[in-house]
Amino acid sequence: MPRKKILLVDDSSTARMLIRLMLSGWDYAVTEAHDGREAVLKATSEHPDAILMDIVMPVMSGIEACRALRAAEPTRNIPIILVSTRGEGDFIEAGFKSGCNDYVTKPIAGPELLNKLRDQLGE
Amino acid sequence: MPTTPTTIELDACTACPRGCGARSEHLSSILANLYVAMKRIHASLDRSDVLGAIRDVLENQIGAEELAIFERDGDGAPFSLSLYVAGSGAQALYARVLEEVLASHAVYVRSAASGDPPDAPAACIPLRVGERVTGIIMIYSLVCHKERLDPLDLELCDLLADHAGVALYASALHARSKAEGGGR
Repeated sequence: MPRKKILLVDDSSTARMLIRLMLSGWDYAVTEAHDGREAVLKATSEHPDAILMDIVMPVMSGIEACRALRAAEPTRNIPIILVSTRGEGDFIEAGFKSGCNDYVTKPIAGPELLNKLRDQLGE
Repeated sequence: MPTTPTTIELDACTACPRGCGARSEHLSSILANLYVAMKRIHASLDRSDVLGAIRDVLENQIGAEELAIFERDGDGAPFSLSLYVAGSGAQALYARVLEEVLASHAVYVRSAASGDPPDAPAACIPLRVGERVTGIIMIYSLVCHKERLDPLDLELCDLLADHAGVALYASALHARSKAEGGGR
C-alpha cells in the first residue's frame, strides 16, 4: 500500500519542522509549501491525501488557498485541516466557510493534530 | 545557575491542557517541541535570523501574542528594545517583575494565586549567559484561546532563558568579528 501523502503548508520553518517531527512516527510522505499559492500548485500537481495549512501567510493566505482548492475539480475533495495561531471565532468561522474540514489552533498538541489527521484520512 | 523548577507529568496526560490522550504521543510531542526550539535558535549567527527564530518559537510553540525582547550591554546598563511584536505598543518593563527576574535569574510567570495583578505580563524570561542576565523576553499576552502557560511552556521558557541569550550573544560576537575583519 503506498504511503499517504501529506502537504504541509506554513511560512514558519519552526512550525513546519515541528509538525514534520510530530508526523515522523507515522508512515506518511510529507511535502512542504511556504505559502498558499505554492500550496495550490503542489496540491494540483501532487494530489496529496490531506493538507495541513496555516492561515496567516504571505503571498496567499490559507483561507484564500482553501477557497481556490475547493473551486478546482482536481483538489475539491482533498481534506484540509487549517492550523493557526488565530483562535478567534471569526477566524474559525472564516476557515470553515472557505471549505476546510477541520481546524487546529497553535500551539499544536501533537496527539490532537494526529487524531484529526487520521480522522480525515479515514484511519 | 538558577533554573525554573518544572515537571511535565506524563502519567497525568489524560488531564493535559493540550488535550492529549496517548502517553507516547504526548512524550514525542514534548520532545519534538524542545528539539525544534533548540535547533531553530542555534541555526544561525545572523542577529535578525536569531531574533526571528526566538519570535517564531514564542508565537508558534508557546502561544505568545504580544511580546518584546530587551537587551543590555552589561550588568547595570539600561535595557533597550530589540524586538516588539503586536499589541498596543506598551513595551513596558514592569519594574517589579524585572527586579524579581534579575534577582532570581528565573522565569517569572503571572499567577493570580500569588497576587499578581491581571495587567502584569504573562511571563518574563531572563536571557542568561553564564551568571549574567543580558536581556529579557516579556510575554505581555497569550493568544486568545490560551488561558495560561502549561508545564511544556515552562520548559520552553527555561530553554529560551539558557539558549536564546547565548544565541544572541554569539550573534553579537559574530557581527563584531565580521566588522573588525572588514566583512571577511
